[in-house]
Amino acid sequence: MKKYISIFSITLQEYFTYRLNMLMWRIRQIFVFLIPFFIWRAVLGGGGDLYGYDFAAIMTYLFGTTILRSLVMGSRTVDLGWMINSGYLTIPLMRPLGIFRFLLTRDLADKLFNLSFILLEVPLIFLIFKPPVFLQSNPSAILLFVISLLLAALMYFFINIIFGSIGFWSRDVWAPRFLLMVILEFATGAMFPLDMLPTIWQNIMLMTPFPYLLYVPLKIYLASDPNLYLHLGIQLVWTIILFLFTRFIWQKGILRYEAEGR
Amino acid sequence: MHTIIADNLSKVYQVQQKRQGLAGSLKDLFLPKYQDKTAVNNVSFVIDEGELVGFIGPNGAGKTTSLKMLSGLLHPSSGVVKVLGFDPWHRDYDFLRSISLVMGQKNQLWWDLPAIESFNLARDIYGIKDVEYKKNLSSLVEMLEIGDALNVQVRKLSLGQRMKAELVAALIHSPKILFLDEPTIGLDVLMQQAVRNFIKDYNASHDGAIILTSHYMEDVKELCKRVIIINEGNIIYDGLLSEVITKFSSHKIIEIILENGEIKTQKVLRAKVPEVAFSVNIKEIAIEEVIRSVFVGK
Amino acid sequence: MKLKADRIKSYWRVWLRLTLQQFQTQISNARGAALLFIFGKLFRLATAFLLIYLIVGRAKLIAGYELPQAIFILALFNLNSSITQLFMRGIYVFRQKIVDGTFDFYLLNPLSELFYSLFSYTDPMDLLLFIPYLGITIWAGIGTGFAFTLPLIILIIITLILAEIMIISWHIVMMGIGIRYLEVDNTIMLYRDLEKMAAFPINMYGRLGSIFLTYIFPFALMATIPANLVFGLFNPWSLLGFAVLAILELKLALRFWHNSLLTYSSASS
Repeated sequence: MKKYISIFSITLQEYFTYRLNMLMWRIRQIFVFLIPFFIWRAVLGGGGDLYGYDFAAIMTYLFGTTILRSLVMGSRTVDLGWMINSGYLTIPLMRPLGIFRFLLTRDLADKLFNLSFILLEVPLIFLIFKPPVFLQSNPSAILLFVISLLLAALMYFFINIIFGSIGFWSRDVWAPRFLLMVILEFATGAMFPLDMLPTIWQNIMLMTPFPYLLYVPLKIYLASDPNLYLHLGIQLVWTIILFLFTRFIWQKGILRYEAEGR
Repeated sequence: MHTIIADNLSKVYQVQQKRQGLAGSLKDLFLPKYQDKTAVNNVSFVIDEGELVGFIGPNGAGKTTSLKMLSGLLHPSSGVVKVLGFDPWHRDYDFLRSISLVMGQKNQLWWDLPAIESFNLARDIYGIKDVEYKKNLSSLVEMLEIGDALNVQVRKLSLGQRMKAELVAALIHSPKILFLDEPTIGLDVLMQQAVRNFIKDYNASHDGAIILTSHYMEDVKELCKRVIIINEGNIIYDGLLSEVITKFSSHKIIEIILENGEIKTQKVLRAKVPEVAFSVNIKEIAIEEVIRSVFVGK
Repeated sequence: MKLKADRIKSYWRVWLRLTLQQFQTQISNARGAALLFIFGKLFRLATAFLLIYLIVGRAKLIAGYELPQAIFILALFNLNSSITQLFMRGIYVFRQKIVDGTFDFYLLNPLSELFYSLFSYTDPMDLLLFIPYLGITIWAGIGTGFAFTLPLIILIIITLILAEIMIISWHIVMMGIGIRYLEVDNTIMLYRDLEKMAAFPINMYGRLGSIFLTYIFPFALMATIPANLVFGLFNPWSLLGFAVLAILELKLALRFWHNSLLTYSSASS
C-alpha cells in the first residue's frame, strides 16, 4: 500500500515541477467551459427555452459536465501509448506492483489534483458569472450518481488502456487517439445535452459507451433520467465488456512487448 | 586580423535549486531558489587562419559552451568575441554562411531520405552555384569514400557512414571555419581514424580554421598542434601540444630492459636524469596521465 | 535589392523542397494515420456544424445573426484555421527540436530559425483538405444570400492575410515562451482553445470579450470581420487600422523573440 502512496505523491510532485504547464492547463479547463457558456447566454440569456432546456437548466448541465470531466476524464493513462513505444513501460513492469494498479493510482492522483483546483475555481466562477445552478439533495439520487460516476471513471480508464495498447502493434498512437478525442468531444455530451438530438439519434448514441461517461451520470445527478435503472444497467454491462476486452488486448500486447525484448 | 578573438569571455547560468519531497516541490513552486553556475570563466584566446586547434577538458569543463559562444548559439554573459570580424551572436547571414558546426551523435540530415537529398537541400539553403556544388560534392565524397552511401536512407547507414555524410553536408558550402564538437564520439576505432584522417587532410588542403573539442586524447594527439586545456571554465593552458609535457610534468621515466627481457621502470625527477652510456629508455610520461594529473590537481 | 530577391527565392525553394521531402517521408511511413486524421478533422467539422444547426436552427438568431450567417462564419473560421494548421505545424514539434538539439542547427543556418521552426513541417495531406474547406466556405457564402463582388472578395483576402500576420506574431511569442520555459505544448493548446472562440460571432462574448478577441488577439479578423464585410456591417477603411496593428504586433513579437534567445541555454553544454 505504501508504494502506491509514493506513486501518488510523486505524480503530484511532477505536476508542481512544471509550474507554467500546470497554470496553462487549468486555464484551458476554464475555456472548455466558457465557449458553450457564451453561446447559451446569447441564445437563452433573455429567456425562453430550447428543446426543453431554459438558461438555468443548461447552465446546470454545463457546470455539471465541466466538473465531471475533471473527475471522470482526468487521467495519466493517456500516456500509455508513448510508454509502450518508448520502452518506458518496462520500468513499472519490472517493479513488484500490478501494472493496472499502478496506472490507476496515477489516474487517482490526477483526479485529486483536478478536484482540488475545481474547489478553488467553482466558487470563483460562481462569483463572476452567477450561473443559476441546481443542487441535488435527494440521498438516493446522490448514491446512484456516485455509483454511475465510479463506473464512468472505470470505463474511461479501460478505454484509455485499450487505445494505449495500440502502441503494442503500431508506432503511431496519436492518429487513433485523435479520432477518439474528436468522437468523445461530441458523444459524451460535453458539447451539449444529448437529449437535444432527435430521439432516434439519442438511442443510437446510447448504444455506444460514450454517453455513459458524462451525460448519463449527470442526468442521474439531476434526477432527470426517465430510464435511470436501464441506463445504470447498460453502464455496468459496458464496464464489464470494456474490462474483459482490456484484459484480452493487454495480455496479447504484453506478450508481444516481451517478445521484442524491451 | 585574427580569425577568432575571445576576450574575457564568460558564461554564467542560473540554475534552480530543487528541494525534496512533496512539501519541497510546493515551496519550489512559489518561492524558487536560484544559484549561479559559471560554465566559462573569463576565457581569452586568439586563433588564426589555417589553424587546427583542440579544446580539451573533462565533461562539463566548458569546452562545448565556449564553442557555442564562438558559433553564435549562446550569448556570452560578459566579454567580447569576434569571429571573422563578426559578432557571432548577431548571426548575420554572411557570418552563418562562413561557418559550420558538426556535433558528434547529433544529426542534421533527413532521417528517412537518402543523404544526397540533404546535400541538395544544403545547396538551396546556401545558394551554392551548380559548378561549385558539383566540385565540392565530388571532392568531399572522394575524400570520405562514401560514394555508395549517397543514395541510401540515412537511417540505414552505420554510425560511421552517417558521420561522414554529416561532414559532407557541413562542408559542402566551403565554410571558412569548421567547429567540431566531439566528432568521433561513439564511433568504432577504425571510423575514428578515418574521420581524423579526413580532418587532417581537409585542414591541409583548405584555407580556414578548424576548432575541435574532444575528450579523446587520440583525436588531439593526431590532429592538433595547438591545444587549449579547459577545466571548470578556466583555461589552464594554451599552446603547443608538445610543450604540455615540459610544462606540466616534473618527472621522466627510466625504463631498464634486463637480460631476461624483463622491463623495469622508475620515475625520476626531470632535473636528476644523467646522460648514460648503456641502453636506457628515457621516456616521457604518457600525456594522458599528465593531463589527468593536472585535473586531479597534483 | 537583388540580394533580397535571391534570399526570398532561397526561402521559397527550401520550403518547397522541405515540403516535398516531408511528403516523401510520409509515403514511406504510415498512410493509414493520414486517413484517420482526415476523417477525424471532417468529423470535428461536422459536429461543429451540427451544433450550430441545432442551436441557431431552433433559436433563429444568435447575437443578431441568422442561421446562414452563423454557418458562413463557422466556415470562414474553419478555412482560416486550417491555413494556420497547414503552414505552422512546426510549432507542435518545437519543444522536441530544442530538446534534441535540432534547434541549434536552425540557429546556425543562414536562413531564419523562425522559418524552420514554423514552416518546415507543412503537411501536404492537409492541402488536400483545403479544397473541400474552400468549397464549403463558398457554398455557405452563397447561402447567406448576400452579393459577392470582386472588390469584396479582395477585401476578404486582405483581411485573412492580416489575420495570418497576427497569428504568426502570436506563434512567435509562443515559441519565445518555449525557449524560456521549455513549455510549448500547453501554450499552443491554450491558443487553440482561444482560437475556437472565433468560430462564433465575436459580439457574443460581450464588450470586454470582443475587445480582447479583436484587438489583442486576431480572432475577430479570422471570421467575424470578413463575414461582416459581406453583410455590410464593417467599414473596410478600418482595415487600415488593423494593418497598423498587425505590423506593430509583429515587431513586438520579434523583439520578444530576440530577448528570449538571450536566455537560450542550448540542449547540451
